[in-house]
Amino acid sequence: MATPGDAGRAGMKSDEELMAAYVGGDSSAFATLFQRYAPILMRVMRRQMRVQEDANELVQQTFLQLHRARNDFQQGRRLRPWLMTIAYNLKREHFRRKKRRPEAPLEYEPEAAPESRHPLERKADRERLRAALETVPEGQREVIEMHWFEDISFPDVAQMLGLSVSAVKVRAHRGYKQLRRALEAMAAADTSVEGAAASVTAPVSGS
Amino acid sequence: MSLQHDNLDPSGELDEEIQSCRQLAGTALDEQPISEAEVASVRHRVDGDIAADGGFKGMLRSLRTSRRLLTVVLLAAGLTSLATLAVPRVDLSDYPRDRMIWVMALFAVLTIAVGWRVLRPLHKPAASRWLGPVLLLVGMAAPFVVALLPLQYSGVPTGQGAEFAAHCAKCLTFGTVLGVPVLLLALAMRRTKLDTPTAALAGVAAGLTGNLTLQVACSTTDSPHLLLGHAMLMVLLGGAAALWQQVRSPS
Repeated sequence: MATPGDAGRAGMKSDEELMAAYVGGDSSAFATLFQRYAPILMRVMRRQMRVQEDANELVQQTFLQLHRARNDFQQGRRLRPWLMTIAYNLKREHFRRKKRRPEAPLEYEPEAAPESRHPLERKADRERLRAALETVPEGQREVIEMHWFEDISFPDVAQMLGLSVSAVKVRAHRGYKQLRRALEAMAAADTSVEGAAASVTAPVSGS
Repeated sequence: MSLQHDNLDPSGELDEEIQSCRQLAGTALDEQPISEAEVASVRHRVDGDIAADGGFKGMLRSLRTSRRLLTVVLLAAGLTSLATLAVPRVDLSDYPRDRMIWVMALFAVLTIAVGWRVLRPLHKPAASRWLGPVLLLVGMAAPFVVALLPLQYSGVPTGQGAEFAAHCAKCLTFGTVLGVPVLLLALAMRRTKLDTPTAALAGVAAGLTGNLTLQVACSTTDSPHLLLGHAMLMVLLGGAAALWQQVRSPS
Protein backbone atom coordinates (compact mmCIF):
# COMPACT_ATOMS: atom_id res chain seq x y z
CA MET A 1 0.00 0.00 0.00
CA ALA A 2 1.36 3.39 -0.92
CA THR A 3 1.86 5.78 1.96
CA PRO A 4 2.45 9.52 1.97
CA GLY A 5 6.10 8.73 2.48
CA ASP A 6 6.31 7.10 -0.96
CA ALA A 7 7.10 9.78 -3.46
CA GLY A 8 7.14 7.50 -6.44
CA ARG A 9 5.35 9.82 -8.79
CA ALA A 10 7.52 12.10 -10.84
CA GLY A 11 7.87 15.57 -9.42
CA MET A 12 6.42 14.62 -6.06
CA LYS A 13 8.66 15.43 -3.13
CA SER A 14 9.09 12.88 -0.38
CA ASP A 15 7.95 13.68 3.17
CA GLU A 16 11.54 13.98 4.23
CA GLU A 17 12.34 16.43 1.42
CA LEU A 18 9.30 18.48 2.36
CA MET A 19 10.32 18.49 6.01
CA ALA A 20 13.83 19.61 5.07
CA ALA A 21 12.29 22.38 2.97
CA TYR A 22 10.08 23.44 5.87
CA VAL A 23 13.03 23.53 8.25
CA GLY A 24 14.71 25.71 5.63
CA GLY A 25 11.80 28.17 5.79
CA ASP A 26 9.50 26.99 2.97
CA SER A 27 6.02 27.27 4.49
CA SER A 28 4.38 25.75 1.41
CA ALA A 29 6.13 22.49 2.32
CA PHE A 30 4.19 22.50 5.60
CA ALA A 31 0.96 22.95 3.67
CA THR A 32 1.74 19.89 1.55
CA LEU A 33 2.65 17.83 4.59
CA PHE A 34 -0.60 18.90 6.23
CA GLN A 35 -2.59 17.84 3.17
CA ARG A 36 -0.90 14.45 3.22
CA TYR A 37 -1.09 13.70 6.89
CA ALA A 38 -4.08 15.55 8.36
CA PRO A 39 -6.70 13.10 7.00
CA ILE A 40 -4.60 10.12 8.14
CA LEU A 41 -4.11 11.54 11.61
CA MET A 42 -7.80 12.46 11.87
CA ARG A 43 -8.72 8.87 11.09
CA VAL A 44 -6.16 7.58 13.58
CA MET A 45 -7.41 9.85 16.36
CA ARG A 46 -11.07 9.24 15.65
CA ARG A 47 -10.52 5.56 16.05
CA GLN A 48 -9.05 6.25 19.48
CA MET A 49 -11.27 8.99 20.87
CA ARG A 50 -14.87 9.08 21.90
CA VAL A 51 -15.33 12.76 21.12
CA GLN A 52 -14.66 14.08 17.62
CA GLU A 53 -13.54 17.46 18.94
CA ASP A 54 -10.89 15.78 21.12
CA ALA A 55 -9.63 13.92 18.06
CA ASN A 56 -9.37 17.12 16.03
CA GLU A 57 -7.68 18.90 18.93
CA LEU A 58 -5.01 16.18 19.07
CA VAL A 59 -4.40 16.45 15.32
CA GLN A 60 -4.05 20.20 15.76
CA GLN A 61 -1.57 19.65 18.60
CA THR A 62 0.38 17.14 16.53
CA PHE A 63 1.00 19.66 13.77
CA LEU A 64 1.90 22.35 16.29
CA GLN A 65 4.46 19.95 17.74
CA LEU A 66 5.76 19.20 14.25
CA HIS A 67 6.31 22.93 13.85
CA ARG A 68 7.98 23.38 17.24
CA ALA A 69 10.16 20.29 16.89
CA ARG A 70 11.12 20.88 13.25
CA ASN A 71 14.77 21.49 14.12
CA ASP A 72 14.88 18.16 15.95
CA PHE A 73 14.06 16.27 12.77
CA GLN A 74 17.27 14.61 11.64
CA GLN A 75 18.31 14.07 8.06
CA GLY A 76 18.11 10.41 7.12
CA ARG A 77 15.16 9.64 9.40
CA ARG A 78 11.69 8.92 8.10
CA LEU A 79 8.96 11.42 8.82
CA ARG A 80 6.00 9.10 9.19
CA PRO A 81 7.07 7.22 12.34
CA TRP A 82 8.46 10.49 13.74
CA LEU A 83 5.10 12.20 13.30
CA MET A 84 3.12 9.19 14.49
CA THR A 85 5.23 9.05 17.66
CA ILE A 86 4.22 12.64 18.40
CA ALA A 87 0.57 11.82 17.77
CA TYR A 88 0.59 8.73 19.99
CA ASN A 89 2.45 10.53 22.78
CA LEU A 90 -0.10 13.34 22.67
CA LYS A 91 -2.87 10.78 22.85
CA ARG A 92 -1.24 9.18 25.92
CA GLU A 93 -0.89 12.59 27.58
CA HIS A 94 -4.53 13.32 26.82
CA PHE A 95 -5.68 10.18 28.62
CA ARG A 96 -3.25 10.77 31.48
CA ARG A 97 -4.58 14.28 31.99
CA LYS A 98 -8.13 12.99 31.96
CA LYS A 99 -6.99 10.33 34.44
CA ARG A 100 -8.56 7.62 32.32
CA ARG A 101 -7.10 4.50 30.86
CA PRO A 102 -6.82 4.57 27.10
CA GLU A 103 -10.01 3.43 25.49
CA ALA A 104 -10.04 0.50 23.22
CA PRO A 105 -10.11 2.08 19.81
CA LEU A 106 -13.10 2.36 17.50
CA GLU A 107 -15.07 4.33 20.07
CA TYR A 108 -15.83 7.21 17.77
CA GLU A 109 -19.32 7.36 16.35
CA PRO A 110 -19.64 9.69 13.38
CA GLU A 111 -22.30 12.33 13.75
CA ALA A 112 -23.61 11.73 10.26
CA ALA A 113 -24.16 8.21 9.04
CA PRO A 114 -21.38 7.39 6.58
CA GLU A 115 -22.17 6.04 3.19
CA SER A 116 -22.02 2.34 3.64
CA ARG A 117 -23.90 -0.63 2.43
CA HIS A 118 -23.83 -2.24 5.87
CA PRO A 119 -23.94 0.44 8.56
CA LEU A 120 -25.59 -1.80 11.14
CA GLU A 121 -23.34 -4.71 10.37
CA ARG A 122 -20.32 -2.48 10.64
CA LYS A 123 -21.50 -1.03 13.93
CA ALA A 124 -21.94 -4.52 15.33
CA ASP A 125 -18.54 -5.57 14.01
CA ARG A 126 -16.95 -2.49 15.52
CA GLU A 127 -18.54 -3.12 18.88
CA ARG A 128 -17.35 -6.73 18.83
CA LEU A 129 -13.81 -5.74 17.89
CA ARG A 130 -13.78 -3.02 20.55
CA ALA A 131 -14.92 -5.47 23.21
CA ALA A 132 -12.36 -8.03 22.06
CA LEU A 133 -9.58 -5.45 22.19
CA GLU A 134 -10.50 -4.68 25.79
CA THR A 135 -9.30 -8.17 26.66
CA VAL A 136 -5.82 -7.52 25.22
CA PRO A 137 -3.18 -6.05 27.59
CA GLU A 138 -2.45 -2.39 26.88
CA GLY A 139 1.13 -2.84 25.63
CA GLN A 140 0.03 -5.48 23.13
CA ARG A 141 -3.08 -3.57 22.16
CA GLU A 142 -1.03 -0.50 21.31
CA VAL A 143 1.10 -2.55 18.92
CA ILE A 144 -2.04 -3.94 17.25
CA GLU A 145 -3.51 -0.44 16.91
CA MET A 146 -0.37 0.82 15.21
CA HIS A 147 0.32 -2.19 13.04
CA TRP A 148 -3.15 -3.22 11.97
CA PHE A 149 -5.34 -0.16 12.22
CA GLU A 150 -2.75 2.40 11.14
CA ASP A 151 -0.80 0.13 8.81
CA ILE A 152 2.55 0.98 10.42
CA SER A 153 5.33 -1.52 9.79
CA PHE A 154 6.89 -3.44 12.69
CA PRO A 155 10.24 -1.62 12.35
CA ASP A 156 8.40 1.71 12.53
CA VAL A 157 6.32 0.57 15.50
CA ALA A 158 9.57 -0.49 17.19
CA GLN A 159 11.03 2.97 16.55
CA MET A 160 7.92 4.67 17.89
CA LEU A 161 7.86 2.62 21.09
CA GLY A 162 11.62 2.53 21.65
CA LEU A 163 11.65 -1.26 21.51
CA SER A 164 13.47 -3.82 19.36
CA VAL A 165 11.63 -5.21 16.33
CA SER A 166 11.75 -8.65 17.95
CA ALA A 167 10.10 -7.36 21.11
CA VAL A 168 7.39 -5.67 19.06
CA LYS A 169 6.71 -8.86 17.11
CA VAL A 170 6.46 -10.82 20.33
CA ARG A 171 3.91 -8.32 21.65
CA ALA A 172 2.07 -8.41 18.34
CA HIS A 173 1.95 -12.19 18.28
CA ARG A 174 0.62 -12.43 21.80
CA GLY A 175 -1.82 -9.60 21.23
CA TYR A 176 -3.21 -10.94 17.96
CA LYS A 177 -3.52 -14.39 19.48
CA GLN A 178 -5.50 -13.05 22.41
CA LEU A 179 -7.60 -10.91 20.08
CA ARG A 180 -8.35 -13.84 17.80
CA ARG A 181 -9.45 -15.97 20.76
CA ALA A 182 -11.70 -13.20 22.04
CA LEU A 183 -13.23 -12.63 18.60
CA GLU A 184 -13.81 -16.36 18.15
CA ALA A 185 -15.47 -16.60 21.55
CA MET A 186 -17.76 -13.70 20.70
CA ALA A 187 -18.59 -15.14 17.30
CA ALA A 188 -19.43 -18.47 18.94
CA ALA A 189 -21.62 -16.73 21.49
CA ASP A 190 -23.42 -14.82 18.71
CA THR A 191 -23.97 -18.05 16.79
CA SER A 192 -25.44 -19.83 19.80
CA VAL A 193 -27.75 -16.88 20.52
CA GLU A 194 -28.90 -16.79 16.91
CA GLY A 195 -29.42 -20.57 16.97
CA ALA A 196 -31.51 -20.33 20.11
CA ALA A 197 -33.56 -17.49 18.65
CA ALA A 198 -34.12 -19.45 15.45
CA SER A 199 -35.31 -22.52 17.37
CA VAL A 200 -37.77 -20.37 19.35
CA THR A 201 -39.24 -18.68 16.29
CA ALA A 202 -39.20 -21.72 13.95
CA PRO A 203 -42.68 -23.21 13.22
CA VAL A 204 -43.27 -26.43 15.02
CA SER A 205 -43.82 -29.18 12.47
CA GLY A 206 -45.57 -32.55 12.85
CA SER A 207 -47.83 -31.56 15.72
CA MET B 1 3.35 -21.78 21.33
CA SER B 2 4.74 -18.44 22.45
CA LEU B 3 6.97 -16.59 20.13
CA GLN B 4 10.51 -16.23 21.39
CA HIS B 5 12.80 -13.27 20.82
CA ASP B 6 15.42 -15.40 19.11
CA ASN B 7 13.03 -17.51 17.09
CA LEU B 8 10.67 -15.07 15.46
CA ASP B 9 7.64 -16.36 13.68
CA PRO B 10 9.31 -19.47 12.28
CA SER B 11 6.13 -20.89 10.79
CA GLY B 12 4.28 -17.75 9.87
CA GLU B 13 2.23 -18.02 13.05
CA LEU B 14 2.03 -14.28 13.39
CA ASP B 15 0.75 -13.87 9.83
CA GLU B 16 -1.87 -16.54 10.47
CA GLU B 17 -3.05 -14.79 13.62
CA ILE B 18 -3.27 -11.47 11.76
CA GLN B 19 -5.26 -13.01 8.91
CA SER B 20 -7.63 -14.71 11.36
CA CYS B 21 -8.24 -11.43 13.16
CA ARG B 22 -8.88 -9.61 9.90
CA GLN B 23 -11.47 -12.17 8.88
CA LEU B 24 -13.16 -12.23 12.27
CA ALA B 25 -13.28 -8.42 12.45
CA GLY B 26 -15.51 -8.24 9.37
CA THR B 27 -16.31 -4.67 8.40
CA ALA B 28 -15.21 -3.08 11.67
CA LEU B 29 -12.33 -1.21 10.10
CA ASP B 30 -14.08 0.16 7.05
CA GLU B 31 -12.82 3.70 6.80
CA GLN B 32 -14.87 6.67 7.86
CA PRO B 33 -14.92 9.56 5.42
CA ILE B 34 -13.13 12.74 6.45
CA SER B 35 -14.68 15.84 4.95
CA GLU B 36 -12.57 18.56 3.39
CA ALA B 37 -14.32 21.10 5.58
CA GLU B 38 -13.12 19.31 8.72
CA VAL B 39 -9.55 19.19 7.42
CA ALA B 40 -9.75 22.89 6.52
CA SER B 41 -11.07 23.72 9.99
CA VAL B 42 -8.15 21.97 11.69
CA ARG B 43 -5.74 23.64 9.26
CA HIS B 44 -7.15 27.03 10.19
CA ARG B 45 -6.59 26.32 13.86
CA VAL B 46 -3.06 25.03 13.26
CA ASP B 47 -2.21 28.18 11.30
CA GLY B 48 -3.47 30.24 14.24
CA ASP B 49 -1.35 28.23 16.69
CA ILE B 50 1.77 28.64 14.58
CA ALA B 51 1.19 32.37 14.12
CA ALA B 52 0.85 32.74 17.89
CA ASP B 53 3.98 30.68 18.49
CA GLY B 54 6.44 33.27 17.22
CA GLY B 55 8.65 35.67 19.11
CA PHE B 56 11.51 34.95 21.47
CA LYS B 57 9.64 32.18 23.28
CA GLY B 58 8.79 30.49 20.00
CA MET B 59 12.43 30.68 18.97
CA LEU B 60 13.54 29.09 22.26
CA ARG B 61 11.02 26.27 21.90
CA SER B 62 12.04 25.51 18.35
CA LEU B 63 15.71 25.05 19.21
CA ARG B 64 16.98 21.51 18.96
CA THR B 65 16.36 19.63 22.20
CA SER B 66 20.10 19.21 22.83
CA ARG B 67 20.48 22.99 22.55
CA ARG B 68 17.49 23.65 24.77
CA LEU B 69 18.97 21.43 27.46
CA LEU B 70 22.41 22.97 26.98
CA THR B 71 20.92 26.45 27.41
CA VAL B 72 19.34 25.48 30.73
CA VAL B 73 22.54 23.80 31.90
CA LEU B 74 24.65 26.79 30.87
CA LEU B 75 22.33 29.12 32.77
CA ALA B 76 22.62 26.95 35.90
CA ALA B 77 26.41 26.80 35.48
CA GLY B 78 26.58 30.55 34.88
CA LEU B 79 24.57 31.32 38.01
CA THR B 80 26.77 29.01 40.07
CA SER B 81 29.88 30.67 38.66
CA LEU B 82 28.40 34.06 39.41
CA ALA B 83 27.79 33.04 43.03
CA THR B 84 31.34 31.68 43.28
CA LEU B 85 32.82 34.92 41.97
CA ALA B 86 30.48 37.37 43.71
CA VAL B 87 30.02 35.81 47.16
CA PRO B 88 32.44 32.88 47.56
CA ARG B 89 32.27 30.98 50.82
CA VAL B 90 34.87 32.24 53.22
CA ASP B 91 36.12 28.73 53.97
CA LEU B 92 36.53 27.68 50.34
CA SER B 93 40.19 26.76 50.83
CA ASP B 94 39.50 24.77 54.03
CA TYR B 95 36.34 22.93 53.01
CA PRO B 96 37.01 19.21 52.19
CA ARG B 97 37.71 19.11 48.47
CA ASP B 98 36.31 15.59 47.92
CA ARG B 99 33.02 16.51 49.54
CA MET B 100 32.76 19.68 47.50
CA ILE B 101 33.38 17.78 44.25
CA TRP B 102 30.88 14.99 44.80
CA VAL B 103 28.16 17.22 46.19
CA MET B 104 28.51 19.61 43.23
CA ALA B 105 28.64 16.67 40.79
CA LEU B 106 25.53 15.10 42.36
CA PHE B 107 23.51 18.32 42.17
CA ALA B 108 24.75 19.04 38.63
CA VAL B 109 23.91 15.57 37.31
CA LEU B 110 20.46 15.71 38.91
CA THR B 111 19.86 19.18 37.46
CA ILE B 112 20.70 17.86 33.98
CA ALA B 113 18.54 14.75 34.41
CA VAL B 114 15.55 16.71 35.70
CA GLY B 115 16.01 19.36 33.00
CA TRP B 116 16.10 16.67 30.34
CA ARG B 117 12.85 15.22 31.67
CA VAL B 118 11.15 18.62 31.67
CA LEU B 119 12.29 19.37 28.10
CA ARG B 120 11.80 15.88 26.71
CA PRO B 121 10.37 16.13 23.19
CA LEU B 122 7.32 14.20 22.01
CA HIS B 123 8.97 12.63 18.99
CA LYS B 124 10.94 10.34 21.30
CA PRO B 125 9.31 7.10 22.48
CA ALA B 126 7.40 7.59 25.71
CA ALA B 127 9.57 7.27 28.80
CA SER B 128 8.69 4.97 31.66
CA ARG B 129 5.82 6.31 33.69
CA TRP B 130 8.01 5.97 36.80
CA LEU B 131 10.82 8.16 35.50
CA GLY B 132 9.18 11.47 36.42
CA PRO B 133 8.19 10.50 39.98
CA VAL B 134 11.59 8.88 40.60
CA LEU B 135 13.46 11.98 39.41
CA LEU B 136 11.16 14.17 41.48
CA LEU B 137 11.79 12.10 44.60
CA VAL B 138 15.54 11.74 44.11
CA GLY B 139 15.97 15.38 43.14
CA MET B 140 13.98 16.58 46.14
CA ALA B 141 15.71 14.20 48.56
CA ALA B 142 19.33 14.76 47.47
CA PRO B 143 19.94 18.06 49.37
CA PHE B 144 18.27 16.60 52.49
CA VAL B 145 20.53 13.54 52.34
CA VAL B 146 23.61 15.74 51.82
CA ALA B 147 22.58 17.87 54.80
CA LEU B 148 22.31 14.83 57.05
CA LEU B 149 25.55 13.13 56.02
CA PRO B 150 28.27 13.53 58.66
CA LEU B 151 31.10 15.94 57.87
CA GLN B 152 34.41 15.96 59.77
CA TYR B 153 34.70 19.67 59.40
CA SER B 154 33.04 22.71 60.93
CA GLY B 155 32.41 25.83 58.92
CA VAL B 156 31.10 29.15 60.13
CA PRO B 157 28.71 28.68 63.10
CA THR B 158 25.09 29.33 62.35
CA GLY B 159 24.03 31.01 65.58
CA GLN B 160 20.79 30.43 67.48
CA GLY B 161 17.25 31.71 67.68
CA ALA B 162 16.58 34.79 65.61
CA GLU B 163 20.10 34.75 64.22
CA PHE B 164 19.64 31.16 63.04
CA ALA B 165 16.29 31.97 61.43
CA ALA B 166 17.66 35.07 59.74
CA HIS B 167 20.59 33.12 58.36
CA CYS B 168 18.28 30.41 57.00
CA ALA B 169 15.98 33.02 55.46
CA LYS B 170 18.95 34.70 53.84
CA CYS B 171 20.09 31.44 52.24
CA LEU B 172 16.56 30.57 51.10
CA THR B 173 16.22 33.99 49.50
CA PHE B 174 19.64 33.74 47.86
CA GLY B 175 18.90 30.25 46.47
CA THR B 176 15.45 31.31 45.29
CA VAL B 177 16.73 34.38 43.46
CA LEU B 178 19.38 32.34 41.67
CA GLY B 179 17.16 29.29 41.09
CA VAL B 180 14.07 30.98 39.67
CA PRO B 181 15.71 31.97 36.36
CA VAL B 182 16.29 28.28 35.65
CA LEU B 183 12.65 27.53 36.43
CA LEU B 184 11.44 30.28 34.11
CA LEU B 185 13.77 29.30 31.28
CA ALA B 186 12.86 25.61 31.51
CA LEU B 187 9.15 26.43 31.42
CA ALA B 188 9.61 28.84 28.50
CA MET B 189 11.47 26.20 26.51
CA ARG B 190 8.95 23.46 27.07
CA ARG B 191 6.95 22.65 23.96
CA THR B 192 3.91 20.90 25.37
CA LYS B 193 1.18 21.85 27.78
CA LEU B 194 2.45 22.03 31.32
CA ASP B 195 1.04 19.75 33.99
CA THR B 196 1.50 19.84 37.75
CA PRO B 197 4.12 17.04 38.07
CA THR B 198 6.26 18.63 35.34
CA ALA B 199 5.94 22.05 36.95
CA ALA B 200 7.14 20.47 40.20
CA LEU B 201 10.08 18.93 38.31
CA ALA B 202 11.01 22.31 36.86
CA GLY B 203 10.88 23.66 40.41
CA VAL B 204 13.21 20.87 41.50
CA ALA B 205 15.69 21.82 38.73
CA ALA B 206 15.56 25.38 40.06
CA GLY B 207 15.97 24.17 43.65
CA LEU B 208 19.01 22.10 42.69
CA THR B 209 20.52 25.14 40.99
CA GLY B 210 19.86 27.14 44.13
CA ASN B 211 21.61 24.45 46.16
CA LEU B 212 24.58 24.52 43.79
CA THR B 213 24.93 28.25 44.34
CA LEU B 214 24.57 27.87 48.12
CA GLN B 215 27.17 25.12 48.17
CA VAL B 216 29.75 27.57 46.80
CA ALA B 217 28.49 30.62 48.68
CA CYS B 218 27.42 29.56 52.20
CA SER B 219 30.09 28.62 54.72
CA THR B 220 27.77 27.07 57.26
CA THR B 221 27.97 23.29 57.62
CA ASP B 222 25.57 22.63 60.53
CA SER B 223 22.89 20.12 59.57
CA PRO B 224 19.96 22.18 60.94
CA HIS B 225 20.98 25.12 58.78
CA LEU B 226 21.59 22.92 55.72
CA LEU B 227 18.17 21.35 56.19
CA LEU B 228 16.19 24.54 56.76
CA GLY B 229 18.22 27.03 54.76
CA HIS B 230 19.33 24.91 51.79
CA ALA B 231 17.35 21.69 51.40
CA MET B 232 14.02 23.37 52.12
CA LEU B 233 14.58 25.28 48.90
CA MET B 234 13.53 22.11 47.09
CA VAL B 235 10.18 22.06 48.88
CA LEU B 236 9.76 25.80 48.45
CA LEU B 237 10.46 25.95 44.70
CA GLY B 238 9.06 22.52 43.77
CA GLY B 239 5.92 23.17 45.79
CA ALA B 240 5.49 26.75 44.58
CA ALA B 241 5.82 25.69 40.92
CA ALA B 242 3.33 22.85 41.40
CA LEU B 243 0.90 25.09 43.26
CA TRP B 244 1.20 27.83 40.65
CA GLN B 245 0.39 25.34 37.89
CA GLN B 246 -2.45 23.81 39.88
CA VAL B 247 -4.05 27.23 40.42
CA ARG B 248 -3.41 28.28 36.83
CA SER B 249 -4.78 25.15 35.27
CA PRO B 250 -6.31 22.59 37.64
CA SER B 251 -5.77 19.08 36.28
